[in-house]
Amino acid sequence: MANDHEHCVAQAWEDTPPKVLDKLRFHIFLCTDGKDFCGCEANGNGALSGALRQELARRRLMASVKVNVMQCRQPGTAGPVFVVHPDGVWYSGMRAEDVPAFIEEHVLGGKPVERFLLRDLKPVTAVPAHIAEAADCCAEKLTPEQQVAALAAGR
Amino acid sequence: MRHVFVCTTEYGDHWTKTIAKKAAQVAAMNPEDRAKLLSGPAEEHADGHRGLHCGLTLGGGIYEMYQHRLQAAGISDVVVSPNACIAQHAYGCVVMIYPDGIWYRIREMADAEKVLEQHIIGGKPVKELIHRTVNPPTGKGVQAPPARQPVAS
Repeated sequence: MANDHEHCVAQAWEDTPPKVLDKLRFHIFLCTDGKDFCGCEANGNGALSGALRQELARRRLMASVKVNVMQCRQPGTAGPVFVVHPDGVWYSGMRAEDVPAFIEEHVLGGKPVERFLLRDLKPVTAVPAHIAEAADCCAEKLTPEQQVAALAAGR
Repeated sequence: MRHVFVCTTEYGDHWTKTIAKKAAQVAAMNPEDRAKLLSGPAEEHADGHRGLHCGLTLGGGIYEMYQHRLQAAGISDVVVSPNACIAQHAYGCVVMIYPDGIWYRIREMADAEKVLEQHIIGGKPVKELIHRTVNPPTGKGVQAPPARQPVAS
């Protein structure tokens, strides 16, 4: 069977023995353009993700920094959004050309890059529209007899 | 503020193409290979890539359940994010909670509810479900690896 995991091949973490996590210092989650999930304008995030992975590999930091993909669910934010855990530092608006500065200052220096911090973080656990719709439909589900009765009442 | 990541690879509209492709591949497999893909202990598959992605098993359900339960409980200082594959699905669906730095392995919905009630709402880690833990933040950066020695030619 062919490899059906193309979407995660870019990560150098496919064979993660438990000991590798001992070195882990930063776990970075980048937002993809999540459409209905997310709502941030994650344009340019593909380029950002590529640049970040390349730069980390070039500096041989892949054992200490893991890069993954998420959907940030910060609607209306000027993306691309990403979050650096376990410190919980949110960034937005960083471009591929700013990656070396980010690595120098945050990954190596340990200090968040002030000018890219996401200020208005929305901590709300809002239910995405398609899930809310599904819940509404199920809550008001009528039996066939009730549907017939409702139609008859409407007439 | 807690940030909860639920692995939902191949769940939802975002993954339609991948799922169709994979379904075709699985359908074309001979029965022995198919049985091999779906069974066997996780440790035999060194890359962790046995079986189905979390979104096809539990991930989607867990994500929706967390959304609804947190909404109903009126808890607003938790962000739940769907995330893509972290190559651990041979062990079960993984739920990661930061900044606590704990990865849980979830094998059934009851485990997910336990994590929600005890850890996400109650703040106490569920020890028996922990898959891996991540070092707490040190406040310092990463030690840069030493420069590679040039190869003598």
